[in-house]
Amino acid sequence: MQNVIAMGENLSMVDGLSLDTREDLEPQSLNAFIETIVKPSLYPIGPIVRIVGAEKIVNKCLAWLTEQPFHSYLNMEELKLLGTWPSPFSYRVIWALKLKGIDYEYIPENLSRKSALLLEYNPVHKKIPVLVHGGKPIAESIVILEYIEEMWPEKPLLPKDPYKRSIARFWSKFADDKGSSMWKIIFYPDEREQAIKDSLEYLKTIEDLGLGETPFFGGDAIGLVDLVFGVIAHWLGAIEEIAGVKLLETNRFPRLHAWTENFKQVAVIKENLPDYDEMVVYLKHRVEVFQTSPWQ
Amino acid sequence: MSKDEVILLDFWVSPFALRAKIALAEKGVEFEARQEDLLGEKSELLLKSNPIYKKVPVLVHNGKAVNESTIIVSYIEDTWPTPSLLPPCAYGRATARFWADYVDKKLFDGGSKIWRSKGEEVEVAKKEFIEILKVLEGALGEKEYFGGDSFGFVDILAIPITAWFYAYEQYGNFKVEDECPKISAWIKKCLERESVASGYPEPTKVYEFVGLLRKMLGLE
Repeated sequence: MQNVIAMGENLSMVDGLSLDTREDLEPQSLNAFIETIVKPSLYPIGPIVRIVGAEKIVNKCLAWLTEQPFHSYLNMEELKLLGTWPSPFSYRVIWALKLKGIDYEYIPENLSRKSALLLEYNPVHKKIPVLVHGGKPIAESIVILEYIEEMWPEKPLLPKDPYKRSIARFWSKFADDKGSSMWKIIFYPDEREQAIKDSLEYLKTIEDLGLGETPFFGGDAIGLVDLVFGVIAHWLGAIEEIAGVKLLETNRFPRLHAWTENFKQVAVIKENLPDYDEMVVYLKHRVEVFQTSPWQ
Repeated sequence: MSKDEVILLDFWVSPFALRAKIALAEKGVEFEARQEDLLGEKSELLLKSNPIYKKVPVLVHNGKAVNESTIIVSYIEDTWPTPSLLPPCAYGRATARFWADYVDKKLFDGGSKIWRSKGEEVEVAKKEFIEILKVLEGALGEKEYFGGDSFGFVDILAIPITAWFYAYEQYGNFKVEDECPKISAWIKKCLERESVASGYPEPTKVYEFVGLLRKMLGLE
């Protein structure tokens, strides 16, 4: 439904609309459309079919469209994700899309050479991830996750109850407000001791107050809060290895430890994690670079 | 249906508590505002309801505590849906949340830097703050409110912080009206609303309070 409303809003902005149908297949709907909406002009170019055995759909109209200048046409359903490897913020969005079974095109960004596309879509922060839906950009990972949840409500990641929802939002905000102390351990070696202290307090708060007796945050199924805390399940290990310090000790944080096991066993998560060893190499390099030049 | 019990743990100068008060007023929800003495001893209810941050506002609705002002406003929106504070379509809501996040991350802290700084840092802080206001001016565009034609989510989150602008102006030696006239006009428009005006602290009193904070921080 949300999709329909969004498309409806876009209608006044376009000159023409190509539809995957044919006049004789849906005469009533098409006539109703033409009668009530003056602009845009309708072009039923369908039905677009894939012939049995053929590898791709071959449709002359679509082929012609893709040859037109960029920005002169728009696929209303098109979903792109601008991200970088191995950013945990990128992965949050990847996980959400895959958990809901949504197709998208992944566009890798190089943060030391940001693309014109990224700067156009996120001029305020110039950061990833950015989700682009039908040409419209959404930035900030938690804002993106809430958008995905609203557009594709099947396989929900947030509870419906307003109070439970407020608890989920609280923990998501907590994760981002306080989670940076873990990264400080490796990126600010002069402040390492304090960063370790802060991180242990952070983990303790989650252990004591965030996780109850349920396998995931807030319940029996994986949700938005789990995705936001995903950094603890995989990236923290790399931080520990590089700094030579163990933070997430099993006996000290039994609930959190159990949660990381549950989290990583979810198929979508298991199949979508950056390679651990490659990540350690990458992070070591980033730490070295950071000592000599400022944050990208 | 039994009556809702709505308590708001409040502090007169807190712009974050004001967000919740405005949202409740906009929705026509009756509530009891309980003043916390944040410079003195915090109440049992506050410490129990918000053990992690121990801050106001806290909304206690029928015994259940909701923390963090932006989350409280979202909770108010979810619980009492009319009149709506967010646009009907998902993309409009995502845009509102994006600007809510920007206001949360930049506006209050950016302003605080001005009065917390010494010497040359003050000028730097002032310039950064004006940049933040200019970005918000861009977001406002030609619209009456951040929400468009109607006062909404982002307006509610941003307007309380403007009560602190006078203090920022005094310490930073600048005027918001000169630098960002559209923001000034938006502030005036919002202040015409009863929900905003009734809880908005006197900017001169906020300035005095900032003076008190500066003394506590050893800045004067």
